[in-house]
Order: sequence, then structure tokens, then C-alpha cells
Amino acid sequence: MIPPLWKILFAYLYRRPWQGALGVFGIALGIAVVMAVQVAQSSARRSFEAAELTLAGMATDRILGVSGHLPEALFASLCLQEPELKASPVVTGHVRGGDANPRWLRVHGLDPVSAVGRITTTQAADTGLPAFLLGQAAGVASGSLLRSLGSASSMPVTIEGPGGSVSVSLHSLRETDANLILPEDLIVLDIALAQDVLGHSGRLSYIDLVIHDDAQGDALRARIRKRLKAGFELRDLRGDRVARQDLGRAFETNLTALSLLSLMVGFFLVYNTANFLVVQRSVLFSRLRALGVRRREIFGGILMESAALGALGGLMGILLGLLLARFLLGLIAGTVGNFYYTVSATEPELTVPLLAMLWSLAVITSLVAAVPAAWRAARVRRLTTRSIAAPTLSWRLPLSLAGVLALSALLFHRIAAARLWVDFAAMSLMLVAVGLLVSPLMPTLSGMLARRLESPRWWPERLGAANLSRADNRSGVAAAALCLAAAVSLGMQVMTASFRDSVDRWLGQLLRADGYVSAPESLPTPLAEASLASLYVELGRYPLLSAISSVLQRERSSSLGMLAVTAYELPAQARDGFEFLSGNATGIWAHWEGEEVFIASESLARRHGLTPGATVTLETDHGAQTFTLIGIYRDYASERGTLAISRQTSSRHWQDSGYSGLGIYLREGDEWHKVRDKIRALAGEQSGIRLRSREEIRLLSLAIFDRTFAITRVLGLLALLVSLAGLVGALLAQLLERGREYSVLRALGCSRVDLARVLSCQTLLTGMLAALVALPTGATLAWFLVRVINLHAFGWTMDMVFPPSLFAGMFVSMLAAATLASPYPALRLGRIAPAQALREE
Amino acid sequence: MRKRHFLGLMALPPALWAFHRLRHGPPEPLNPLQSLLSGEAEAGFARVLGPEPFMFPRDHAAHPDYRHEWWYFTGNLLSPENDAFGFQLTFFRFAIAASARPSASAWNTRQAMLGHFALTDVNQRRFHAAQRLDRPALGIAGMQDTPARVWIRDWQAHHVATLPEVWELEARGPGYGLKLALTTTKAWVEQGQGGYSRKGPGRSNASRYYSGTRLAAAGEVTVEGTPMRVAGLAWLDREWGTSALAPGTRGWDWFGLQLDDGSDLMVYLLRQEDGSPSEFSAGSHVSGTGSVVALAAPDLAMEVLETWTSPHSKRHYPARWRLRIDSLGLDLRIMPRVADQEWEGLVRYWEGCVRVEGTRAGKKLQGLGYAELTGY
Repeated sequence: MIPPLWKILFAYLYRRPWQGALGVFGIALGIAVVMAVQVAQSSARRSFEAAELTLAGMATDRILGVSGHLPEALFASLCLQEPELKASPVVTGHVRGGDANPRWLRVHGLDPVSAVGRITTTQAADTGLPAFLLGQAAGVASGSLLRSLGSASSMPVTIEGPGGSVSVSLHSLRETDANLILPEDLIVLDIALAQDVLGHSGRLSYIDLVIHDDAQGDALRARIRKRLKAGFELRDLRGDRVARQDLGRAFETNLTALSLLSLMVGFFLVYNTANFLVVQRSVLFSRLRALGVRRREIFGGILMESAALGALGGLMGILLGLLLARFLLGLIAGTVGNFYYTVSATEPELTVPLLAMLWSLAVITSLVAAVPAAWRAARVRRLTTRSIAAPTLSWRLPLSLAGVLALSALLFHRIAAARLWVDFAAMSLMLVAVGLLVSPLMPTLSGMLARRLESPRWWPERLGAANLSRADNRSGVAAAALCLAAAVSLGMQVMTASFRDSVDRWLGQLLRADGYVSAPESLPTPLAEASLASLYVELGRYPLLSAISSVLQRERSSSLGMLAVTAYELPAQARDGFEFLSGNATGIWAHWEGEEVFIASESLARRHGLTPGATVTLETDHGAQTFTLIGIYRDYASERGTLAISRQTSSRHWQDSGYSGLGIYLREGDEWHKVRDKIRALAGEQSGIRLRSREEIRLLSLAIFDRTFAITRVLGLLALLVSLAGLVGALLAQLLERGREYSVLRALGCSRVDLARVLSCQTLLTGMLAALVALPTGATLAWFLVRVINLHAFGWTMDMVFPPSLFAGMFVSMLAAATLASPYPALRLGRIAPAQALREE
Repeated sequence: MRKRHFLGLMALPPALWAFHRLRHGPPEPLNPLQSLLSGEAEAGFARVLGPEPFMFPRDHAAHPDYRHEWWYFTGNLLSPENDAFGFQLTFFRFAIAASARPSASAWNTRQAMLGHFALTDVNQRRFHAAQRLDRPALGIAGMQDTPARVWIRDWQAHHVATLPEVWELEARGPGYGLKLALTTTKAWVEQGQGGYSRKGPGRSNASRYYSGTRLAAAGEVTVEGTPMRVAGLAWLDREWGTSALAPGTRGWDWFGLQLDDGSDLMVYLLRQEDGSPSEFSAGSHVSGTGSVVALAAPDLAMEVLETWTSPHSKRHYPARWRLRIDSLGLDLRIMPRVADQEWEGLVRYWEGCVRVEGTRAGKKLQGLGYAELTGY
């Protein structure tokens, strides 16, 4: 049984659907953005996890050979010595596959009987088990790989590796099973077949182990370590996995926070709606009070009404969010794929807890936003024919609230500094404080303006300004919403611009060579490195170059876990490319080649708290070796960080003849394009080697950068869109409220154009005032994002830039948004038939 | 009416989610062994098509040309301190393909080996179970012909061709273990028609099947790290074939019982999809002197008196039976010695030691044995 009061409230909304629509719309947009970000993120993360679990499964540890392989007898003796051990041998390598257009494919050879990945527990699409691989010329691949090879499932495909060529029937994975994901360039074979085709008889690439995390597990690890001779290591996979996920998480926290800001804008809109609905029905409430309805009931009724609007908005938001999620998923997958891990999710993933969370978020936000309005409604006196005075806005309340918020933000930040979510919480509190300041600022400033517009020619504008100055809470709240959205959007843009500028300058300094050589990405890494190595030898004989620099990237085991270790060969010209944030350049280069020293990228140093003098132990071919940190350099290449040593140091400890990239230094007067053609001829046309000039590399890097930040731009735009809706809503609300005034104006002979001027002046002023606050707020926000949040999230310091064009652009777009808000309300206003409107009153 | 619309809207998201799950629901996992036992085998495997004389000791060793095979040792043991145990040590061999690809790799095989080792501590009511799945390669697991031997890591069954013949067993699980010598006391029993054991209407729905129904067991059992001497009676079932089960067979209840009048009884009841017994259910009775009587479905009157619900899988298993074989004058009641002897591994089934009480032609008798319940 629904209480009669609720029926009355709902009936009112039902008759005037547009009045509730604003609140519903605000919440819907806010929830949609939050949902889209959450769903897209969790889908991306899940697809990553599924891809990992498909092959590595529950593996906790891995035995590796420093040389890259192990004898298979090691596996057999391990199984017999530790009969309880869950171990799975793996052979990996590359083959050329496909009959029409052969391409490089990665091979993952496993023993289906002892494999620990999910792939063994689930069926392939058209046959029984992966166990069918056993002893067969068969393999498993993703459906998309089969399509790209132009092959149907179970059709034979020829693969050719160092061990020979064989025809394999490739079966596709069941594509609807989101738990199983294979990378698009990978085929899974039985270990015997993989050894045959790769020519790896007697050799394994690694052994995956599942070891429990208890005292027995630790004892087992210790026993295995003791049995492993030098040149083999037992690596903890969970640590690596956690580290990789942490990085992804920093990125995700950023996005989540941005999406919550959109919800905050939505919150302001609901607040606006609730207030408006109360003002509209003040007479109704007083009559209800006279009829004996208690304050408590009215209070509850208003909250219920708002909750219902929130519930409806949440529903719409979820549907809208689903559409948006598909779009964002593409963007996120792009970013994540560039920097963290490959994502092949195409389908947003919905879960009940997520939907429930969003649903309650919508309802709770609406409830909270309606509390002030409900409070006011409950205070209406019995039987008053006067409407509730629009709330008189004293400066005191919002000011003191804002002060409290700002203070708590500061305090919050002091107590638990360097925690990402704390940073975001502090930032949100500060933003709300600013939002609170906008409402009281509005009437004051517009009142000042109204007094200036004395000429009778400007009477509609004066009226517009005066409208705003009438302590009108609604326009104030709309302005606050617009201001917040603009500030967030601007803050992100300025942050991105600062970041981009820093990256650009860093690239400018780092890229010292005239050109760079890299192997095509399609080439398997060992082949790519080998082909660069032979080119390196050739170039040594080439008399026209002044110098060559080189880089070799490796993942190496260290006392800090797995680290990206880069070996640089740096001629004098290249050394200027390093900007040291700590350590003395001359001193560093003096020790660089001859001693066991390294330099660390800023993010590596920050992540592990390294300062010059710190030591890190790396697993080398000859056992553990300690290296000392002598300098920290600026680097935006990866937020995971890099440990850099000289090529000479690397050669002393690892037998590794490959190269990941080469830098070409021309002699005075030579031209890049001519030398480039000669190098290409030297490498051979077939090598597919890539030669790029310094400028091309720079542009390519910046293009990747822009792609990465595309998503933040989209989120900023969405927030602006939400606030624009707020502005339109506020105007419409005002129209309804002041219908009588406008009718009187029309009856007095005021033209439609005049009324439109009143309205557009009002919106323009709102936009301008919002901009006045938004621009400095955006700048502050950018500073906070750069100096606090990015530092904590990624460990990068960067220089701030405040491009005037961004500020001007934001100002203009805010005015444009404000202008866009007035035509529809003006149209509605123009339709008022004065006589009828007056009669209705 | 409007109100209902409103509520309907609120229910939409969960409905959407449910729809989503329906479309993308997780696939039903396939029981890999079931599919190997009953699925249509590719051509090229040897098939069991009729009776054939056994050749011992050759037939104790593996028959890799058939799709599946097992060495199934079970038994009841007692220590001098009256600690009672049941044990099961099983080696399964499965051929995934009929022929192997020529290969230079030491990993090349078309066989997989699965081992199940369980020890039931009857007095403590505890069931220890461990599973091993390995590839018969690089000596990690394997089968040997002379002398017959099967092993998976440190579990093994080893035939010693002395007179009487002996099987030596060795297996360890976490904290428990077993080392036994099983000595034959009766001749090997050819089940079915000279070892040709029909399990379905097709001629090839059959396996080669022989049993050692009464092996004298002696050796050592280790429980929680403490070894103790034990002795008792064990049973060996050897079976191999290619497509034993007919389509529509849901599972079976198997019993191997050793009675105190010196006789042994083997009974298996095949169940069809609808739960009804299959006409291919069968058994055998071996007297104390070793004379064998084959039993067919009409001879066997089995009644389930009680069921047990597994706390792990929530499945219901029969847990007490009355078995009447009028032709032998037997009226037996069979009950598990410990209720929870359920296997949770690649395959879920109940396999455990049982106790028998009853009468033969009015004369009281009792015994011990093993039961296996699958398809529940």
C-alpha cells in the first residue's frame, strides 16, 4: 500500500515530467560515466587475467635457465625427487605459419597432462580436450588467428620452424568462453611436437610450478633452490603479477576518480531539481500540513521522491553506460595495450555486484542531494499562500562549509600522504568546496553588473542580471556544476599539456642520434635482435658514420624482483641525452663502463626508494652480482622504470650478443636520407628493418602519447555535457517558476526577442561567472594532478605549462555552452500566451 | 498500473544481467574420463570382440593398443593393534590416439597415466586420497612388460613371477603411505565369458577382464608419518578395452566381496540414464576351492536400504544394500565401513571399503570388501 502522500507527490511529477527529468538526466549521465569506466576497466582487466590464466593458470613459480633454456632431464629428476610437486614443462619459440601468407607465430608447447593453465580444463570448440594434442600433429589457437590465416577450425596449416616443417590441424578455442583467451599470434602445441618443430629436442624453455603458500611450500621452494645448479633460477611469479597489476591499478584509479567527478556534477543537478520541486509545491505542502500531514512525513516523502528519481536515473544511466562502455573499452584497451598488457576484450562484462553498486550509488546520491530540500519542505508553515522564499543565501554557510572541506582535504592529505585514493579524496573535497563558493558568488557579482547597466537600451540584459542577483539558488547551482565540470576538464587538459610538453622536451634531449634502427615488430624478438646484431657488425665496417649507439632490453631477476634492465652503448654524443635528476654527470660517465654501477630511471628510483649509493643484486650468467646506483635520470618511457647499465658492463656478466635498437650518428655534412638508403641496402631488402629519423621517432612517440590521453579528453567532455544539461534545466525551472512575471512582461508589450535577450544574458552571465571561478580552479587542479597525483601514481616529475590557448578555449566553450542553453527555454518562453498564463495564475 | 510499470523498470537491470549470463554462461565442464570410456573411439584401436585366452604373465603388463586399461588394487588390512584400514591403489592408462606421430622428442607419447591412491583409516574414520596424472615419458611414469610394472613417479605396482605370484605395491600421499606384497591364493578369475566382459548391446561394448579375488596382503601402512605392520586380503581387477560402455550408461555400482567362508563375490550393476539397471549387469562367485560361477543380471537382486549425501559435492550415493542371489542361497547386507570415501579429482566417485553380513542358505556369514559407485 503506497501512502497517499507519496501518491500525491508522484502524481505531481507525472503531470510535469520535464521537471523531474532534469534530475533523472543528471544522475543518469553521472552514473553512465561511472559505469562505463568501471565496466570497461573490469572487462580489460578480466581479459588480461583470462589471457594469463589460460596458459600459466595457477602457476606460482617458474624455473628458468639464465641462458634461456633448461635440459628436460631436470624436469624428470624434479618430478621423481619431489613426487608431490605440481610441475608443468613448457617449450616456446617461433615458427612461420599459414599456407597463403606465412607469418610469424609464437609457439607454446605444453604437456596437456600436467599443464596448469585453464586451457587443459576446458574444451576446444570442436573436439574434446586439449589432451587430444598428445602425440598428435594438432594445435589450439584463437578463432581470430585461424581467420587471419584463412583457415577453418581443424583444418591443417603448415608451420615451419628451425626443426622442420609440419602440417598441423589447428583447432579454435570456444570463442564464447571468456575464461579462455589466447593471444592472436600464438598456437598451443603438444610439447613433443613443439620440440620437434622448434628443433629443441631435450630442451625446455621453463617449468611452471604450483606451490602452496605455507610452511611446506616454503620448505619445498628451499629444497628446489638447493637442487638447482648455477645458471638456473626459481622465480616467484606472483610477485611479478602483483607488480604488473599495481601499475595497471594506478592507471585505473585515475580513471575511476575522473568518472566519480562526473557523478559529482550529476549530484549538483539532483540537488537543483529537488530544490526546485520543493519551491514549486510550497503551497501544496502548506495545504498538506494544514490537513494534518506531519513534518516527518513530508520530509520522508521528498526523500522518497528523490530516491525514485535516482532509481530511474540509475536505470537510464546503466543502459546508457552500457553503450558508453563499449566505446571506452576500445580506448582503455588501446592505452593499456600500449603500456601494460595486451587486452583482447571486446565484450563489456556485467556483474550483479557492479550493477547493484551503481544502482545504490544513484539512489544514495539522489537521497543525499535531496536532504536540504526535504528539510526546507518540512519546515513550511501551515496554509500559507506564499511560496517558500527562495533560500536566502548568506555568505556564511557555504563559506564556512567550503572552509571546513578545504581544511579537511588538507588534513586528510597530511595524514595519509602518498596514497593515491587519499590524493583523489582530497582533490574531490577541494572541488566541492569550490563548487560551494560559486553559488553565493553569483548573486553578488551579477547584482554589481545589473547596477552598471543603466542605459534603457540594455533593459533586458539588466533584467537578466537582476534575475541572477535575486539570490537565486538554482542558477547558482547550475553555475557550480558547470564550473566544476569545466575546472576538471581544464585541469586534465593542462596536466596533459604539461605532460606532453615534458615528454616532448625529454624526447628532444634524449634523441641525439640522427636516425634510429629497429626491427619490425612482427619479427620474433630473438630474430630481430640477431638481425640488428649482424647489421651492427656491418655498420662497424661502414666508414661514413661518426658513431653508433645501441640499446639492449632485457627482463632480469634481481633483489627487487623482475626488472627491466637496459644495456646502453653510448658514444659521447649520446650521453648528453641523459638529464640527471641526481648524481653528477661527469662523475657518472667516468665510472659508467668500467665498474659495476648502474643508473636508474626516475620512476624506478621512486618506486623502490633508491638513492645514489644504493645497491641492487642481479642474477647473471656467473651467479649473483651487486651493482651500485650512481645516478637517477629523467625518463618517461615506462612508469615501471628501467635499470640502465653500460653495454660493456652487460657483456662482462651476460653472454648476450643481441641488440634491441641502434642509433646512427652521421658525419658532418652527411644527409640522413642518403645514409638511410645505404643502411637499408646493407641490411638487405628482406630484413624489413625500420629506419626512422629523430623527428619521425619524436612524432611517433607523441602520437602514442596522444592516443593514451584520448580517454581523459573524452571524460572531460562528458562532464561538460552533463553540466550543460544542468544549465538548460536551471533555465527551464526558472521559466516555470516565474511564468507569471514573464507573462506580465509579455502583456506589457515586451517582444519575444526582448525575452530571449533576458534569457541569453542570464545564461551568458552564468557561464562567464562560472568561467571566472573555473579557470583558476582548473589551473590549481592541474598543478595538483601533476605535482601530487602523477608523482604518486607513476613516479614522474614534470614541468608545468599553462598554455593560454587552453584557458581561452575553455572560456569560449563555457560561453558557448551557456549560449547553447538558452534557445530552447527561449522558444518555450516565446510560446507563452500572456492572457492565458495570467489567467492560470 | 503505472506503479507496476515503475517497478518493472527497476527490475530491468537484473533481468538484463540474467540474459547476459544465459548467453555467455560458463560451459558445463566435461568429465574427461567419462568421455574416454564411452566416447566413440577413432579407428585404429584394438577392440575386444570376443573371448580370447589370457596369456600370463604377459597379460599382467600393459596393452597399449587398447584405449583404456587399469590395474585396480583394493583391500582391507588390519594391524596387530587392531587398526583397520581400507586401501585403493589404481593405475589407469588412457591412449589419446590410436597411433603416435613419428618424433625425435622424448616426450612423444599418445598415452596418459592417472593414479588414484586412497587409504581409509577405519578406526579414525578418515579418508586420505591423492591423485597423480602424468605423461609416460622421461621415466616420470610408465609401463614395463617383463616383469610387468606400472608406475607414476614414486607409486608403483610390480609383478613378481614367482609361484605363487606376487604383486608388490608402493605408494605415498601427504603424510600417509603403503608398501605391500600381495600373494595370490587362488587362480586368476576370468570374468564374463572367458574374460570377455560384455557391458552393452554392441559386440565391442566389452572389455577383457580378470581378477585376483583373494590376494594375501602383508606389509606396512604409514599414517601421519607413523609406519605400522598390517596384513589382510586384497583384490586385483585388471581390465582393458576400447569402447566399453554403451551409450546411455549413466554409471555403475561395483562390489568385490571376500566372505569368511572362503568364497569371493564380484557384482557390478550398470545403470541407465533413467536409473534403471542394465541387462548387462553381471558378476561372479568364486568358491573357497576356486570354482567359478558366472552371474547374470537376472541372478542379482539388489535393494538400496539407505543413501548418504556427500557434504562435499551434495550428491546422493546409496550407502547400504541388500543383495540376494537366490541361485547361491545368498542374502547379504552391505554397508560402508566409513561413510565418506568420496573421490574429488578429475573424476568424482565413491570408492570405499565395505563390510558384509548375511546368510548363505540360512547359515550366518560375514566379510569385507570394496565398493565403487560412479555416475551419481
